[in-house]
Amino acid sequence: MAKKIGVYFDKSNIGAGLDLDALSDVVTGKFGGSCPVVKVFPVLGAETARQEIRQDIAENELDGVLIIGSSPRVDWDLYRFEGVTVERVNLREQGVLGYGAKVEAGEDAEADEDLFKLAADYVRMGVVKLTKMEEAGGGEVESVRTIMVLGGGWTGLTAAVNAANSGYDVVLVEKEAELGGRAKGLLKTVPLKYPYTDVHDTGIEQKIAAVEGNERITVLTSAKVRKVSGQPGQFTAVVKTKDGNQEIPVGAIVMATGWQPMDAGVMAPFGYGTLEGVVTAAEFEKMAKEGTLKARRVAFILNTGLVDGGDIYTSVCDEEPAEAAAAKPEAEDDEQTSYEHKDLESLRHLPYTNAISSVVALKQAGYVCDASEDGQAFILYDSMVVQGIHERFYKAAQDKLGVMMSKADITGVAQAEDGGLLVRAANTLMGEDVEIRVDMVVLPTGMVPSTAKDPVVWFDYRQGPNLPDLDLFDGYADSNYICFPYETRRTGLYAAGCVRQPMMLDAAEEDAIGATMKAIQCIESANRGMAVHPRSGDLSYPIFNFVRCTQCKRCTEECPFGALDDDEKGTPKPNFSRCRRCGTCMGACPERVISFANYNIDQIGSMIREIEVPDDMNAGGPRVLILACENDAYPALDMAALRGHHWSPYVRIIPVRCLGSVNAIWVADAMSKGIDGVMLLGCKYGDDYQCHFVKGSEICNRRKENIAETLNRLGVEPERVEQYEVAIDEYDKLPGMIDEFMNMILEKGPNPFKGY
Amino acid sequence: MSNSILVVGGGFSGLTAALEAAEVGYEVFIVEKTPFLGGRVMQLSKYFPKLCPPSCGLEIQYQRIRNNPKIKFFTQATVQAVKGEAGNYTVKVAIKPRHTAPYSADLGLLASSLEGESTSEFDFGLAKRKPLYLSVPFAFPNRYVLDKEALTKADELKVGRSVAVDMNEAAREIELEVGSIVLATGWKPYDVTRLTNLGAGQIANCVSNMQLERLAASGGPTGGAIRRPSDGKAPKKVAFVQCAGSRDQNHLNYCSYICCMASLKQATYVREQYPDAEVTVYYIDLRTPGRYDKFMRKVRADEKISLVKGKVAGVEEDAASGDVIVEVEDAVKGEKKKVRYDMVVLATGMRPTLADEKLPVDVPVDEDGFIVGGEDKGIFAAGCAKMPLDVMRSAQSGTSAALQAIQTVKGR
Amino acid sequence: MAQPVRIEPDLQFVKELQAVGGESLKKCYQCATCSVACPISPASNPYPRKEMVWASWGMRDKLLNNVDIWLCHNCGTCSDLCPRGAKPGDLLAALRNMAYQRLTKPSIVGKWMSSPKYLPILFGIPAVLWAVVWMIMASVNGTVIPEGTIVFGKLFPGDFTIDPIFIVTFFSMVGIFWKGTRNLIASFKPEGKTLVLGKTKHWILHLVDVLREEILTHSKFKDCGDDRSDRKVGHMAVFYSFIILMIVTAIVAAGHWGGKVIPAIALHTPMPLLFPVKILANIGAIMLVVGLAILTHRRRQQDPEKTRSNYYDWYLLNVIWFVTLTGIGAQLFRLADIAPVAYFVYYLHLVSVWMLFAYLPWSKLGHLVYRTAALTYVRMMGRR
Repeated sequence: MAKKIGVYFDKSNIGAGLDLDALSDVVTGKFGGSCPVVKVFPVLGAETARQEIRQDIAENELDGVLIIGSSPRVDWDLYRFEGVTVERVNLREQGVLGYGAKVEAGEDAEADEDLFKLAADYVRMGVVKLTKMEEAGGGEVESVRTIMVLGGGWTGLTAAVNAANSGYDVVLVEKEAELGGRAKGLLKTVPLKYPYTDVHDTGIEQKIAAVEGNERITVLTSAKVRKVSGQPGQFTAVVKTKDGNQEIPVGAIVMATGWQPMDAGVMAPFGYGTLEGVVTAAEFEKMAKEGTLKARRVAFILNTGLVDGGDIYTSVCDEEPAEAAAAKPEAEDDEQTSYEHKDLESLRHLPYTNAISSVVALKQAGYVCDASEDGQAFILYDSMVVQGIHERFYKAAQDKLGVMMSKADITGVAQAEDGGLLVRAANTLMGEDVEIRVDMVVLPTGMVPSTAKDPVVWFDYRQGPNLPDLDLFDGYADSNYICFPYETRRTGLYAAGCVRQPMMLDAAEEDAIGATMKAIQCIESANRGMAVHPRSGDLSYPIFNFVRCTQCKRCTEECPFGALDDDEKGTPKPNFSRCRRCGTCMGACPERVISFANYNIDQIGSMIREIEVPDDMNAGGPRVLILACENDAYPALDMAALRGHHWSPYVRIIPVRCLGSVNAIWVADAMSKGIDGVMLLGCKYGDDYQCHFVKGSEICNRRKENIAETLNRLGVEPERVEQYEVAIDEYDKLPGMIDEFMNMILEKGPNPFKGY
Repeated sequence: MSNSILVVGGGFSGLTAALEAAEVGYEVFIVEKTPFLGGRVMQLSKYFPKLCPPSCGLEIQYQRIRNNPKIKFFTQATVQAVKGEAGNYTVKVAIKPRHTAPYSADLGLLASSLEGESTSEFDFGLAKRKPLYLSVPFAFPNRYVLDKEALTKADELKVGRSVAVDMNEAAREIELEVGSIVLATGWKPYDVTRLTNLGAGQIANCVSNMQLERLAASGGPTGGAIRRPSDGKAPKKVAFVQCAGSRDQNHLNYCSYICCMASLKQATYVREQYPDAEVTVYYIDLRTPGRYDKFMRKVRADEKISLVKGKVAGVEEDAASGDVIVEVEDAVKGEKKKVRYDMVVLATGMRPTLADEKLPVDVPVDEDGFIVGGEDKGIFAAGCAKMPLDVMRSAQSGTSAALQAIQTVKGR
Repeated sequence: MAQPVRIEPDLQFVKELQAVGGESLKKCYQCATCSVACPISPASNPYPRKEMVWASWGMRDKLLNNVDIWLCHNCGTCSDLCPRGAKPGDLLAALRNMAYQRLTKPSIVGKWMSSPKYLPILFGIPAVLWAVVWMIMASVNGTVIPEGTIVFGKLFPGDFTIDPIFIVTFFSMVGIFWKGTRNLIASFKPEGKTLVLGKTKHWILHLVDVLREEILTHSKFKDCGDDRSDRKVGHMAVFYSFIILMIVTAIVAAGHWGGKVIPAIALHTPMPLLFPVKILANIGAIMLVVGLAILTHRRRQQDPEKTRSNYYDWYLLNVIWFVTLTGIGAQLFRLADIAPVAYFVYYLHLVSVWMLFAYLPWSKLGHLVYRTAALTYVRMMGRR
């Protein structure tokens, strides 16, 4: 809580059009005591200016510094001062520029009343914000430097070795009796290294040896995770092994539990299950490995349009009901039987696997041709999905005499008169519909991630044992963020390999190392009491004032990351290192129980109260409060201003960590204070949500409905509170949105509460 | 001995590698050749398949940089020489002068008042830029760059008067002690002038896929409106030519990984802006792996978008109308035809940035210029310096490079 | 849906194709660049993309019954642009070579023509034939090399040796071609649309059009790969020099035999150098040399990564070189009056000329007839 604040104005950035001395008087006038130093610098960015500030801090024992000038998004590196809290007031972008005054150095435009009022509001809000801000910290978690790797296959083994080589202890949990996973079943792999031309041994044996030979790694085979409780840095995993359940303390988890072949029953239209010699690629690989492959002529069908050609992406719910059996764990654990996992296996797993299927067909065609002089392999595709560098393998593989390829639509597979098989295809590149006599037909194997079948990790969390949002990716434990492939809604758990996305061994190897990186990072951050992505390094965390808690459970239910558990009475149990610091819980709490040291209800509320609302809207103009997501909407506003767009001088913008953190009380405060409208600017939500905290903007929108109702009851038009979805690059549209809202307010007239 | 890490390249892979390592507590230096971080993705309008703006993720990365003093970055900087071995490298870095104040001054008005102009490489020649510029609104760091050569006499007087401009700033050279190096030098679009049968870049309305990104970008030269470069006309009929250079041993002996999805994505740009526009994508194979299949089907379902198997092998300009005529065989129908379009987009592939440059470090590269080794020296390639990848895979790659770098320097 | 066609890949055939010039055919990944790149392939079912997939799939009959291989004039543009280095141009050439081999009996000759290892046989036959003639005349003359001014007739008298032998050779060749052409036409399965509007012309009229519009003018050479104009010049030079030399031969023959009836038109070889027919002959000879030089140079310049000349190409070029050089050589040595060399070179000349004519239907020169036939055929089928 800053008590002695130095306030510094940057003339070079906001001087034009603003009387900074008058603004200084506003500060001293209102906060004289707590603001002993108030200065205007010609160029605040200059080293000399910063020297002077450091002196002021020393001489006046300042504990807070308020920089009034450019947006906090720029020059962050200039205004780091030891031992004081620094706050920035964005008077350049969202004040002077957004207002539209000229800022060309030297030129001194007529000071304008509206602009001055706006500036004064922002300055007061800035000071108040500082005074309501504690130094964050103290959330350290004594981290266990052990990483639990789930799955002893190609990916898991890679993760384990890399975690160990980075100085961390590893517990490797494999459900089978021995290590190796599916890679062990491969005869050869498609090339993983330059020059990417020839298949070779996987080298899984060396990986296994490396793990077994590493004293940092404890291997548990025939073992399954029954329960994971606690929080990153301090998880407790209950693992069921041959010799009973073990309780293992772990810091973070790498999930590399891989995939299982999708039920090939759906391949019936290709004769699977009815015709002798129709097999899946997985079954074919097994034969090749065991050397039982006899077929001389083999058709590899990659175009599965016959079964997955239709509209397979209509909502999951319309699909066959989940096989409870598949999800029901062994009875002995009542904790788990109470939960029923929705089986997410579906036809979609076929196209999901298209890239793998394509290279595998090329590889297996090679098996056929290398096995015998007259070996013939027909690859019938819709598209050969052999991406990137692996094109070189395609090129090499097709150059075999016996490999014959064509785009084709398969019209059917039938028994040939001589007992063999007939594959019929239309729309081929040969210019006619063809019929091929083969000994064997190989169909692609759809890869179903283990998480589609089972929660795998069995979190002992208030929100349930499963990873949320799995249905977004048909059961794959993938990230919705293109930029952040390891982000899930369960902090401390990082998925890698084919449980995250179907991938080849080379990609899986890289993925394993990446996930290990994140696991290590999570352990270290927890240990420092810091948040992980996206507020990496944030030392603040939610603080609960349980005295007022009514056990309404809203916070525990709404937390996008399942950070909060609760006791039998329903009192929330925070887990700092699970928390991403978005403040959704704070926004949820009707009793204002939850706060952050440097971000809380009172702080924002007080800032809102600093907005001077003229009693007569027609004289002083209306007032509109904008609560803007600091990650997207707020930067977009900066950009709009820098690109020369302007907006009404009657709006006051307050950045929030996420719309999820917006508490209804702020809106209520604003309305009761006579503010004529509230705009909530947040991220897109829905399946392709852009909210960095997953649910924030969506939750806020839901809460808004309730707010609207309340307003209605109070006789205030609900339209006065509106939420907008803004993408960060919509800076050219944003000012228009504001004007539109402002016009709507002007039509509605003043807020009925004005002046009360 | 040093436990710091050098990341060469401030694009998405480089930023990711740097941040992941720094957030474990290691000191990281980013050396970026251009005046701004962000790399290629800064030039994109939207990412597939979510159609979300790259600046959204970049803003988070920049936020992470702002909050982490462990990361230091140098722009307009290039690695000159690297001496030493794993765990103990001395790196010479040359830094060009920016000629503007070391703080974010809003020089927008001054910039627009200047006369000098040069073609914007950032916009692939689609626009001119002033001598004083930010490449994009989200440019990071948000500090203007002055291109002295582009100034006119009058300009020189003007900028000379500004306190935020330093005409005399000199180039400098610094030395960094690091234990490991991540090479995230990324990619560049294949040179269209080599595609002689596809217009060789001489046809105004036959643009590259990266040029179309600039046309569609809200911060781009047209403010996001897709128009014909020749006459600014709104295209009603657009063709996409896949594998423009890729999968062709005469040009790029590999598949560039992203072009199929990029074109499908760009098809949606066109359809969104022009509800009655027709789009055709001519391809050899549609490569939409895994979760991208859903996006492909969504695009395919649009009856105004058609996907045709057949490689366009001829592109001509109709000088009179500015239209572009493509010649192609529909391989399934077995029909060869010439079709006229308002605009044609070449899905040009990617080449490693260092393809025909001398690497500052001694690591093995393949005949196409991709880095294929160096791990033994504590040097790790990430992203498209290693192989063609999309953003998701580049992020993965950067993350894993970070840990490998850490393993090299830990305990030193 | 049409009744699907059963595919029986003939990999042996694919190997043969690879052996006679199509070694890269498996590299094709059906991008269809070649069909577009080809300036003269038709709009419906253009070649050579489909030929590439048929070849890769070992669809023997499809390929052997395919008229399109004759429409290709082998400019190599498709191979230049091929992204995989699959060399479609070479494949079509290989298919033509295969046709020369299989179209006519005795097929053993086709076999001999397919590989350099049989060259001794091909050369041996005429060598022996003319050696026998030489020996007989030697015993008649009582000396191996005749005395006095060099007159080749002394050793190889036209009346009893050259003319009868070549007349037989020539007409049996024509006969073989007639059969071969019939086989060829019979084998064709028309590609693409065969709709012909209006009343159909007689094939002879089509043939005339082909000769007039395509062959004499070499128009296709212009259309295809215009950057290859040197090729057009070379081919035309050779082509017309052949015509000239045919005319010369005809005049000489007519003069010789006719002279026996009407002494007025009698013609006696060797003709004086300034005699118009002789001048014409030498012009033809020079054109031939120039043409050959151009074509040979071109083949030497080709990038083997794009287009590779096969044995059929080199055989033909070299035999014609052989004919030309021995022809000119014989004349020069005669004028230089170096009897032994002159007679021997003339002997070689006769050997080479016989090789050229006797094996013509199985050699690449067969395209003279087969392509003409194919071009005529497609006009009749309305595929242009």
